[in-house]
Amino acid sequence: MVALIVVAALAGLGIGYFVGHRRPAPVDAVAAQALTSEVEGYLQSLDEFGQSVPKVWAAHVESCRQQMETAVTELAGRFAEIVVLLETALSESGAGGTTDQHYVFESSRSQLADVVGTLGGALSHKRRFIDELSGVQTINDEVLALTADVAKIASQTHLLALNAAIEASRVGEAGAAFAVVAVEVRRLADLSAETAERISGRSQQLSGAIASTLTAAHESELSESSAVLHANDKVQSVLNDLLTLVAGLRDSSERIGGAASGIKQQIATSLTQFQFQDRIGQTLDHLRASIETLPPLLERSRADAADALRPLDPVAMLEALSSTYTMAEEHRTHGSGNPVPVADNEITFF
Amino acid sequence: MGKTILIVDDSPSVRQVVGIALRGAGYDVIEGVDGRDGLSKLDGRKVHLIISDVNMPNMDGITFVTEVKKLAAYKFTPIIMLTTESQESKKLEGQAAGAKAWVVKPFQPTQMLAAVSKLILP
Repeated sequence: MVALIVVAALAGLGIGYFVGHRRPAPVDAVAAQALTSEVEGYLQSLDEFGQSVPKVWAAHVESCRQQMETAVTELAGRFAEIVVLLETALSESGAGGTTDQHYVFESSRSQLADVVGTLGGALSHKRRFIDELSGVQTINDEVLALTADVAKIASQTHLLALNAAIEASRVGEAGAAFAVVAVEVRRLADLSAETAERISGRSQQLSGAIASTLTAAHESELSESSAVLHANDKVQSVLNDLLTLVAGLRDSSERIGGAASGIKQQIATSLTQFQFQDRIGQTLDHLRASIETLPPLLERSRADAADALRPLDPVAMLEALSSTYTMAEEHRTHGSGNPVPVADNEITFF
Repeated sequence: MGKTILIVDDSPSVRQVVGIALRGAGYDVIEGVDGRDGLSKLDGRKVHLIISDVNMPNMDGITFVTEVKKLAAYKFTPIIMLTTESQESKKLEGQAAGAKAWVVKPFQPTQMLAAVSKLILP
């Protein structure tokens, strides 16, 4: 556009100059020659202008368009890679996240509960053993009581046999045989008493051993019961700590995931802004194509000048430029001569 | 396996932007750099939808749509024109060629995805 205005201005000035100097009749041949030479020089400069300047303008426009396209394509590519990386990170975070953690935690809780349960089971066995041993103690006490009864019976039998021997000696010869029996009964009674005494002794030893075992077992049971309770408390404490840790990790993971998701969304939204490159690229392309029509236009004007000086036609050139527009804002910019905002996108279904 | 969409546009950045939006929504994407290249991608593979620019070198979008409609395997494949062109006459050309929708850039990904979801083959 700037090029057109400059060239049109130059052309206008040239024509004005030419007309201003051509209309009055040359006063003499020298003046006419000078005027012709001056016009020739001007037309030559116009020709050189058309051959050199618009090419540079067009080259700069195309260079800008290509640089922008390269940069935007590169940027869009990088952003696309970031989006893919974020998607991967989000996917990994979700895959190793709450489900696995929850499974591991519940599995650990179950296994530790099994361990505590096994300890509790062993303690129950020990309690049953103590109960059984208490039963044996009771039986032993009963045996001890029975030996006392046996000793008492033996004592009474011994006394009875002694009385029988006395009565036998009182009846003389007739009681001799009975006296022998009485002696034997007394001897058996003594043996019974001795046996009862030995059994009682053993039973008391056994009672002492059982009592000691029971005491030790009760102490062990108390200690183990306390250990199981302590272990259970510790396990619960560790599980609670782990639960807090896992919950913290989960919250942290969710926050990171939320942030990454937000970043991904922001980048994806930002990427849509890169569409400006396509629109600007097209406008620059249209401008470059228009600039490139200037040299042949000037060349034709220069060639026509041999017959007659014809003014350049900015309207035709602008119409040609307008015919290349594809976007509504190009038309609006052309019409208003000022930049215009890009209209919202629209979708038409056929 | 996701549905496949062919994007035909001579602007690499536009192909990337459209591709990101579509891949993010779970679609598989293949690309063509102009109409001729786009036609070469229609080699028998299943394509559920095509998104094409209008102004492209070698083969423009309207010609591309016309050629696609001549291919028996793809004549019913819906085509969305994605372009900076907003002239009514161009839209009518696109419609006559067989396009199903005309989206003027710059597009919002959500609107593009809504249009894709509405038109894509089952």
